[in-house]
Amino acid sequence: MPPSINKKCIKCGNCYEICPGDVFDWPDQKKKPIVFYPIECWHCGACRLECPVGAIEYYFPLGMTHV
Amino acid sequence: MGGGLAGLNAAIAAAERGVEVVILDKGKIERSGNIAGGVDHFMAYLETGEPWDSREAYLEYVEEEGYGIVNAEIHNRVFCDELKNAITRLERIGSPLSDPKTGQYYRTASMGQPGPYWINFNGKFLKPNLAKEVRRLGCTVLDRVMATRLMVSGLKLAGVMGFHTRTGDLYSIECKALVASTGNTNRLYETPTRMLFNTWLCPYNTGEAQRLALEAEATLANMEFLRMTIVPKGFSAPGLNAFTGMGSYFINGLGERYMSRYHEKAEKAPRNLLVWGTLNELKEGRGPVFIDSRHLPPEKISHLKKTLGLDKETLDDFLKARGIDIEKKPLEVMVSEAMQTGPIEVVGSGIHIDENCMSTVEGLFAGGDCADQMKVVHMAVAGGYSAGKFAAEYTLRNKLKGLDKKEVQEEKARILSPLKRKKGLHYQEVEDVLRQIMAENVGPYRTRASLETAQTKINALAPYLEEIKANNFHELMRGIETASLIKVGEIMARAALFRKESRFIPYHYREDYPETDNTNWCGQVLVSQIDGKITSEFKPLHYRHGSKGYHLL
Repeated sequence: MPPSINKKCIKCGNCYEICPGDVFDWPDQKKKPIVFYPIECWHCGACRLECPVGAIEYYFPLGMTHV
Repeated sequence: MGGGLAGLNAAIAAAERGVEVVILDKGKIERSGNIAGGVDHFMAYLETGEPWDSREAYLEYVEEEGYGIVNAEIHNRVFCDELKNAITRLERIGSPLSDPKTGQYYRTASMGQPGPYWINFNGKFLKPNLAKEVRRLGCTVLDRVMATRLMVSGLKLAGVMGFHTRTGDLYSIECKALVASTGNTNRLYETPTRMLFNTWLCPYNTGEAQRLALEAEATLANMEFLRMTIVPKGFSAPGLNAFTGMGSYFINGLGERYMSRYHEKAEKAPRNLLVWGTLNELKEGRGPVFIDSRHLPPEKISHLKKTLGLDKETLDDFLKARGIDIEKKPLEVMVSEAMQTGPIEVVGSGIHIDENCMSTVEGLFAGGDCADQMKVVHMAVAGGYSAGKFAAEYTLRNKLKGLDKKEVQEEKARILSPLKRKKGLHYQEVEDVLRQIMAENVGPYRTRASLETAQTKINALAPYLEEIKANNFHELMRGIETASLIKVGEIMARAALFRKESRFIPYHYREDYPETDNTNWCGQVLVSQIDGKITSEFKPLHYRHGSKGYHLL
């Protein structure tokens, strides 16, 4: 439902830095941040706006798209 | 306290006056609060010479729309005095209200306005631009720091405490004045999709200022009102203004334009009546309901599509995922979850402020959606600035009060206690029960019995706050938010029980007192907590003009 981080990610950590809901975690900075609290996402789009390489994609659960 | 739209404008005002400013925000100020992902509208009069486009006409609209609970004198001083400055400031920081290419304002009318007071603009980078200005002015920004307590000394504001939601570092800050600007309260009612963070406005706005101010013995007002809106089926996203401003139709399951049954302005009726009409259509079995834009000319459709994306960054993705092109197909809609906030666009709910944006506690100011006389974007920008301006003037006349060391130590231990529990409840388990209680008993149809039931159940739920266990600082933040939600819910039920009439239906609709009673209830319900005891009282308001009423058909 929330964002997912695709292969374009350059591991800059902007999404982790910016998210107003603190939805991401970034325990290993050699790897991509993790969408750690997916259910807490507000779909505000801040992470995608701040991602410099277009690595953020949004998915919506069936409970939003098919009700 | 709170670095959203109001908080950053307050910080700018104070810093411009040479005051040392510290900003606390649970998020990062570049993208936090209700407009984290952008915004597309700002309400203003522009004095073009049109009869509706003046300060006087605007204030008359404010009195008419907010009749009974709005204080137009405060509005005049806090908003109108700062409007021109606000428009100039937005332009200066790089988020102008006018079209950067043409210099023209794109203005639309809806929500009962006498003329096109909404300005559509590109507010996608409004937050980052304001944040840049705040940092340029040398304010100290404490991103990811959540306030947990206001410290008071001799009935005056003395400081604030909080913790870093990632590192757990504790903060105790002495200050001469504090501007509370943490917004409205979301995540308080069940959502129609049962996904707790799928809310119209920011689900991380959870009423911290309302709770902390009450605990510091400041008075709250207008807390009985909830607010709901019409959102796309499945996604509680903003965008209603854009549709109604462009002239979209609301249609029911029989294909009828039902809003003309409820209000003479049909889809351009005030928001509460759009919700009232839609709830009624659904209750009487004429669903599903849709917003139909197919009749709009191509230029309006293209403007509409553009502004929808500015108001909610991901709405376009959602509509694609749902297979909807608003040009070709009506958009199925639903009534959103409820929230605690001012009932209409020109009057707020929360900390009771005077004409200097000060609460009933000296040195504690409020701005934006958590103040009882401010609401939405235009008031957060102009009114937030006023709160910072008056707070700065206050600090220049006053000294630090000092913090009580024992109180600081006690608060430090209290903040961290949910981390120390070996076992306990997840915050969500407690919150889910609260949301159900609120939706079933303090929703758009209320009675004395439902409100008393809510009070009993919330009182029985509150002790479980002491059993919430946090596994890390993030969960600690969520658990403290739960405490604020429970307090706000309790106050809403109490204030709603106190007001024995209906006003701004269905935002306060008492089945047992269905009429608006301007003889006895023209005024605000104030709620205070002194020495732990909560009391309610009524404060009458007087108006130059009588209410013309709602023109309900």
